[in-house]
Amino acid sequence: MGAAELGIETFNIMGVSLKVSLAATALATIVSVPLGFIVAVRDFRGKRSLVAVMNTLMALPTVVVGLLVYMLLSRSGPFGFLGILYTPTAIVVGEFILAVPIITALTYAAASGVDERVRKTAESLGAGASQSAWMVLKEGRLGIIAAVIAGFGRVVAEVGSAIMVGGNIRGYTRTMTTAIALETAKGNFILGITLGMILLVVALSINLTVNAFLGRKV
Amino acid sequence: MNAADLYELRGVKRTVGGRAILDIECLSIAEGALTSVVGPNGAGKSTLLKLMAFLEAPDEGEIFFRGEAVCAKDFYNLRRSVTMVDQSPFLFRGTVFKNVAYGLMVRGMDREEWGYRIREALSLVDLAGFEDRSVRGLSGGETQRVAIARALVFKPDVILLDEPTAGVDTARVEMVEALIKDVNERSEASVIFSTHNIAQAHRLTDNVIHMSAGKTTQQSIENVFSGCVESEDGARFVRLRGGVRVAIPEERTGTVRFSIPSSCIDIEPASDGGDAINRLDGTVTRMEIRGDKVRIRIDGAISLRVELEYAQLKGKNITLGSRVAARIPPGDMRMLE
Repeated sequence: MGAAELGIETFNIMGVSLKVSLAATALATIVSVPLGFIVAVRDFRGKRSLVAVMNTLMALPTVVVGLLVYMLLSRSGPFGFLGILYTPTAIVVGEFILAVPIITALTYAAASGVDERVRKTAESLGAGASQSAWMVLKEGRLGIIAAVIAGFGRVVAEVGSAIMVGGNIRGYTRTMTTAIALETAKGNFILGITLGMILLVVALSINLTVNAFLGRKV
Repeated sequence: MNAADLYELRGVKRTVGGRAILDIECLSIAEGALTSVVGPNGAGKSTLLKLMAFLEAPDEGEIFFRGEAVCAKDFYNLRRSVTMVDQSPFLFRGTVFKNVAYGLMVRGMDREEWGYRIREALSLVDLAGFEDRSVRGLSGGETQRVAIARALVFKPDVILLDEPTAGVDTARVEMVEALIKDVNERSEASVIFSTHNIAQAHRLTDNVIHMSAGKTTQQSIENVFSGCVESEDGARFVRLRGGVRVAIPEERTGTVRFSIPSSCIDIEPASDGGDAINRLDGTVTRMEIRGDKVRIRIDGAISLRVELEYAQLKGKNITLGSRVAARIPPGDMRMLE
């Protein structure tokens, strides 16, 4: 494979990685931020148990998720009719499952840490339930953004689920991590390490962008 | 309940961990008045204010607001006209402007009005020009004053201030006190503030609710003074500000605190001479008719509240601005400690 061809393929792999990771993180954020926030601000029976489950699921092994999603999406599985196994969509599903507990648990921690006076102050100034909740979210936004970044970090770096449900198909479902796994298996350590470095640079760039944005807003 | 009552609390209890932190049999607060809630730490002042701010619901009992019984579903609407400034107020991240604008924003008020209103509120609390300052660098006193401005800006009907001078530097306590009176007098807002400073409570208003261990005693202990007992020619007295001397009837030494019931004080148009002890010369600065009685405020070296029968006052030719001599009958004061 020539250098130009290699470059194009690397860009393609990066594109797939970013596309599936950002999609999974975005979907997980939509579900997890409100969920973590509600668990933090509401009192209900079984709350402590739910928090314990959320914290435990943060350590969910990626291969277990891969196996679960594989069983669900395989031809004989309950969602086999969708025909999405070995597609980027299947990787998004697996990564979504991995990101949800992390973003939920860290959003819960961030919202729980917001000063109780924020809500009371907003309410005493005439805010309704949604307005005061929004104020709590705004005050806890640093922690919540950190939760989303942690979720993205988890999915962009995972390999087990992506390889099992994506199939590591060249030019289609091959991500940075699955490519690293493949190249390492083939003995191409230099290429594997190079891809690993690129992955770190991509993650660092995203973090720096978010921090620069926060720096202007805080 | 009187038609003019803003709040009436009946059998209101608030319990935390099985312990009653507030237990009020009956309490009424007049509309439009400046009312203080005074008591030591842990007396239940903040809890009472939170209930009246509709931030918390009582565990037992009923709260009536302007004659209507209030339940939790009414809280949101009521909080649009009632606001509370906490003892240690929280300022939202950002600028002073954003904080003061919050009440206007949640009410959907026209943005064109914001600038004028915010500048006005900030100048009232002596913070003109602070709009663009970040709340991070503010001192405790400035934080307290921004919080007061944030409450004043949307012109609520009721303002509850929990220990408004706590954390305010001594030089600005008078400014905050003047502001509290000014807000009550200039606008039609009812102002209720809590304090542990009994002198401050009485200095600012005649409507004082005393609290202790979660219970209220609405009796008004007025004209509270304290001083060191001196002795001269066998007479014992306390010398107050401006050399005003008040005879102490009991065998007391050291520092004493006492109140002079307003109904015991007699006033006459000022004249030269007469006994200098138990006498205060001053000007009538406030007269308020309450039924067949008149409440009068006399400001001189010290301030006194006097209550007289209207008929009794009629023949004395005393009006607002009159120079008068107030006489305190010996032995009518109540020793507090």
